[in-house]
Amino acid sequence: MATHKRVAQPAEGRRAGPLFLSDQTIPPGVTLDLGGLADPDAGWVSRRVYVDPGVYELELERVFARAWLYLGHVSQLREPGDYITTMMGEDPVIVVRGADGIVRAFLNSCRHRGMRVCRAEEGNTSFFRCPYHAWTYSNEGDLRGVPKYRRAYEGVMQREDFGLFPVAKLGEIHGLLFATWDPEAPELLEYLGGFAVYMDLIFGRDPKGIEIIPGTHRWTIEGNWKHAAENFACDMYHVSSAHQRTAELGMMNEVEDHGYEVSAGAGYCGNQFSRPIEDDFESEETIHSFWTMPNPVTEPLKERRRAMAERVGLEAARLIPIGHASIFPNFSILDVESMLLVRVQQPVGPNKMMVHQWGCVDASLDEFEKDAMRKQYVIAFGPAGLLEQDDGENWRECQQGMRGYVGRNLETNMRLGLGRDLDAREVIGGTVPGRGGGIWSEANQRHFYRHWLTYMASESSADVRTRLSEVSYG
Amino acid sequence: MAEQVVLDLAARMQLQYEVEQFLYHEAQLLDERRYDDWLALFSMAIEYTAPVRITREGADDVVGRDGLHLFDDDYGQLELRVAGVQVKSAWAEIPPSRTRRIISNVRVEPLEGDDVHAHSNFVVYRSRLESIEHWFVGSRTDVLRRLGDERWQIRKREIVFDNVAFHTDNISILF
Repeated sequence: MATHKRVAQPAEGRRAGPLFLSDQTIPPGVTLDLGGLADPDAGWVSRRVYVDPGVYELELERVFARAWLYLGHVSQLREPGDYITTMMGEDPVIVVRGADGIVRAFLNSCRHRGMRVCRAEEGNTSFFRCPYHAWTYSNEGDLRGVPKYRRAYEGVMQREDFGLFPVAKLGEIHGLLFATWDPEAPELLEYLGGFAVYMDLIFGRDPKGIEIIPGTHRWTIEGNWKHAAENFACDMYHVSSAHQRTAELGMMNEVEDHGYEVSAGAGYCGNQFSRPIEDDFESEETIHSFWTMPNPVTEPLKERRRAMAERVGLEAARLIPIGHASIFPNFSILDVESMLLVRVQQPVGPNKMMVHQWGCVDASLDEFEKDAMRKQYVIAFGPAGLLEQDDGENWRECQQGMRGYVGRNLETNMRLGLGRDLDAREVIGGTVPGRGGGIWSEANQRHFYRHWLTYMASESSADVRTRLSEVSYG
Repeated sequence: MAEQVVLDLAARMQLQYEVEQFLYHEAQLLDERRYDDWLALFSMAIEYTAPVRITREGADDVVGRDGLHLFDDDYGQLELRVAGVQVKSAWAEIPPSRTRRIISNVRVEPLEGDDVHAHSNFVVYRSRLESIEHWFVGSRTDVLRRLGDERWQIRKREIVFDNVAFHTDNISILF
């Protein structure tokens, strides 16, 4: 679980030239009356947080240039030279395993005129050559080739000062790679806090970890990125109406009152069960009795639960598969009996998100079981999935309903189960970290906005740390 | 693989006409949301697939059979989609989108027996609610079987969209 040594911590020199974090000014039109934007303890958030361009600009600086963001999985970078490209906020990045075997991440932008030096989404290369003026970088990020260097640049600039601009920190947990632009940010494990326990239940239950299915689902939804992030933070309340289609089709059982929602560290998760969790371990039925579809993965998952029960205790292990989860700010997970997916809600202006989503499989499953998980993911949660379709419709329409002058000045209502939060040990049992509600609760959404307000109100990562210690759930 | 069969011009023209008319008929069924009639055109052995595209250099830009798809359905799953778009809670298509399918560039290659390969391009326009507009563009490669009396059956369909990312909120219509 520790940050892996194959992941590079960049040298100081590469960051020559200012990263303008500390010089940012508050954009015009944004009052820093953040108390007017949200009061999670009272159960409301102003709709301006979803639609206001000034709030969005401040998010790019204070959330996306500071928090840990998901990049990809090490199984996508097996060989030296393997790379993937993705986004951190609105900044394009390259994640590449260098010739020396070390994984690094860089802003995908030539240090000369800013062009993206890599325009493919994946591949293998020994160098990145900018098409514009042919500045050429090694797959370790060093600037190696500058045309006319001796005639025009010697004595003017040093090539070693203009390597690709690296992320400040890169971290790995169970093969999942995250990065931050902020040198003052806490280390990844400190950032995740108690949520690392829940990550272990998903990505650590198979001794071989997970594999990413080849290909990425990418699509835009005309809604703010937070609609999806807070939904995956676990909104069991929407399932019986938004996804009633799957109940009508007989794919899913009726939603009962059993389940949990917990916030811990930088993450939020929850799930529903169709019978009390105490009855849900060595049962003959499907796990959590949630899906009605026959599933070849059920038995292997039950084996994982038994093995994990010995390592982490019965109470934590019987949460497997743990359901829906988000990690602040925009990384989400769906871990249900039939499929496992990870996704990022990339921000594209206040009114649009780009979803990048990957199907995953536990690496020890056999080929038949892996293929079953792949197919179940496609029909349920790909962009044409029978559940995902309706989420896209609903989030676009949330944005439509709150974009106008009057709409944006109303509140988003987050009062479900207000004042009924419990310690995770009372909800789940055992020694699991965090705090949350039963299944009918927006405790996780409220906690997401405590994090969001903390980042938005803070002048620096040190400031974030101080303020977070006041609202943290372990 | 079934061997390609060589026909004379008149026979090729007749075959081309029949296949085009069948594909136009199919498109009309979907545009008119006659989903059960549409499903009746498919063989129980149908493989209905749409692999995702990948932006990369020097390698195939369509993911392999083991990769992510937009659709990867057998008959039962296609039946589920057809039922799913018609239930009372199919929010992504309530109220229904207006769609218009333009099918073109039809190329037909006869195979052995009663089967043909039919390759076609499509442009699908979806107009949703008051003013939302989405476009889907790509190609389809079908294996069709002649059932006689100008009736055909779809036995295999691979849809290749020209998008890596879709700007459509979702994909709640069929192709």
